Amino acid sequence: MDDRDRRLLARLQEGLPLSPRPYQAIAEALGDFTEAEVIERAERLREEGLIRRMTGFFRSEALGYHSTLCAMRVDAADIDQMAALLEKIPGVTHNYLRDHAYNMWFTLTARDRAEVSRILRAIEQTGLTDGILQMDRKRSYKIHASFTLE
Amino acid sequence: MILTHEHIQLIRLLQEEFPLCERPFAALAERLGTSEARVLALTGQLQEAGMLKRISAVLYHTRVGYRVNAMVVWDVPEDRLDEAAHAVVPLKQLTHCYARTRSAAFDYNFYTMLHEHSEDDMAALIRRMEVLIHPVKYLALKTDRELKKVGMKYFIE
Repeated sequence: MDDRDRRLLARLQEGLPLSPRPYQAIAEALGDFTEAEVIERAERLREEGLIRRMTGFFRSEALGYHSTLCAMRVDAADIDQMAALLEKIPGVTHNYLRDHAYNMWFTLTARDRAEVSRILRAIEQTGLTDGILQMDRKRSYKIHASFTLE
Repeated sequence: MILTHEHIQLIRLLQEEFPLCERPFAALAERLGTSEARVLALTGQLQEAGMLKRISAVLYHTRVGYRVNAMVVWDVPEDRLDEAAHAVVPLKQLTHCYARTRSAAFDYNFYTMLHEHSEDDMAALIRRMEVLIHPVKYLALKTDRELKKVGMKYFIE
């Protein structure tokens, strides 16, 4: 990865303009790139496994969905089974093991609060956890992952 | 703005891999059986309505050096939350910052997702944030293992 890649990656994380040739617009914004170079470099960075993909990011609440953060205690012996269950639930987008008594933390997005509750009750019914904490969002101050590469 | 079937069909495509070609909106238009201009107009509506944040690159952040990830939660008096957020939001290592509901079992209300290059850097970052936030207490919940990380798919039920 060279300096031109770094500059391009930084710009690509900011968001494409909504114009017919957005990569051309990015080339112009960067100043010393052509449209073709933007596309070729981005494609190569994707092949090399640095860029997962280009995609649209949405606000779940604005789309009418309800999102929450949950935490639960899972015995070491049950972790794989619980992880496999959460893997199958489409609304569970993130699941992490953390260094705490509440050791499994996951985000859950569903069509509404009732659906979120239904899913959590179903997870509890497996008997693999003694209860799920739900930490609803009250306010979002920053939701933007943008990584600076040195 | 009312979401129409046109918007929903477009959302279903926009949340997948966005094309890397000269005219990506035209490519989407072809799949939707409509015009490039219509796709651009609909995408603009979604953005203006605050539903679409942006179209951008997703990186494998662990492959670009940010190997240490932690969720650090803070106990901050309600009337100081905005001030605390204002102080730390500019930090590039902080990617997500929320106020959340407290519970008896977990007495924290301010949540920050942090990414750093090394354990030492992460420790230094947390110390710096403690000074900026001045919490009653805080807890650093290091990631032991990432079990799942996928993008949410809307309107595919």
